[in-house]
Amino acid sequence: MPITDDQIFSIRDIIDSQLETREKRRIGRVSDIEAIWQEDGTLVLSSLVIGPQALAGRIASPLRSIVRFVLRDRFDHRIPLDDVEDFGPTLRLRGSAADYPVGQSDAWIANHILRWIPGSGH
Amino acid sequence: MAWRAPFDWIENAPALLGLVTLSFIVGIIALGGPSHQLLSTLWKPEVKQGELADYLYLVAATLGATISPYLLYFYSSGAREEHWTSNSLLLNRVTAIVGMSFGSLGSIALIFLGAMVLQPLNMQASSLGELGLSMAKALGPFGTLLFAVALFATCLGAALEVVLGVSYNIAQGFGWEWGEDKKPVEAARFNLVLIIFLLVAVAIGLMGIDPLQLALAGSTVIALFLPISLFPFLVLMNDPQYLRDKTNGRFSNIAIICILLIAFVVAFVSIPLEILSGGG
Repeated sequence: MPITDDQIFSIRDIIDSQLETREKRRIGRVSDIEAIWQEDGTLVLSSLVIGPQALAGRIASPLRSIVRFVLRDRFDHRIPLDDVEDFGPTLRLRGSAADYPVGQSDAWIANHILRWIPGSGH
Repeated sequence: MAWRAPFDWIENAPALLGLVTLSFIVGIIALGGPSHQLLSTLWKPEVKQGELADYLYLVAATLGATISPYLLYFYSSGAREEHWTSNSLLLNRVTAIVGMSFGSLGSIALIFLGAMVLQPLNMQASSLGELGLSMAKALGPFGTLLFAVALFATCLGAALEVVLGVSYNIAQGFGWEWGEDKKPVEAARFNLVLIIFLLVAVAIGLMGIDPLQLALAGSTVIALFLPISLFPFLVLMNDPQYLRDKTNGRFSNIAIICILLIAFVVAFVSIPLEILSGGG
């Protein structure tokens, strides 16, 4: 459902919201948002950011650069706002978990770590 | 069990095994019941000179163990695992009241047993083995076996509760897939956290620290942080957006705030005293 004029969202409605994929898999929460200035001077929300650097930045700005120095952008991912099908306490995404790097982490852990443990269901 | 057992096993197996703690009451009866003097310590505790620090330390640990935040994480997640609805409020009330009363009864019975058997021998019940002696005195070798089963059941229940409570908390906080009724690969990050915490627990266990002293110290620290860890719950319990007409009444709020403050003050006072006096 695209955002219509009568739906006004504040940052509070989006930050920390649950991200759920098309197949109803919970893949994470929104850590931060990115916006871009348009030529006409308006600020438009462009993407959702998920990852430890964004979270660290919300605790204290200097933490963001410290965590970035350690993690080097490897674990922060962006999801374009156009991919959000439905807004609410849960943000429903158009794609499946495999379409988003943050959604692939479960599969990576399952394939590389859990598969060696008996009974993992791999 | 934490790895693969479905939630109803995790919930029911330790609870059923925990029924063995009723044998503590049988033990008290077998020893002829508590004396009137001992019963009166329930409301008028005898704190000997120089033992106030130890006493406060035990009070803080008992409060911390009873109202541990892990209990709330585990319990609330369990309610979601079992798909509770607003129709489950009565079930919730019965479970909370009967469960807590049963647990408290078992604990009080064991303290009574310890006082009846160990105090006359001037023993401090400072190890689990000494506590087991009181059941051996009351019911013989069979009592020792019952004590071992009760110890296993309560440790199993506590271990499952803490490891799952932490994993639930982290997975739900970060918005990951979670749940004990799913295969581990279907909630991979949740299960990875669970394994990491199990390994950390095993590593701490292998360090050879006395489990009783470790549990006491852990519970006291929990009591110290109770106001911080449970304040968000207090806010939620008063939020009509979440609870509609089921928000806390004034009495419940005052009771919760008083209990949290008592736990904090007792822990705050007793920890430095306990350290200064050399512990135990």
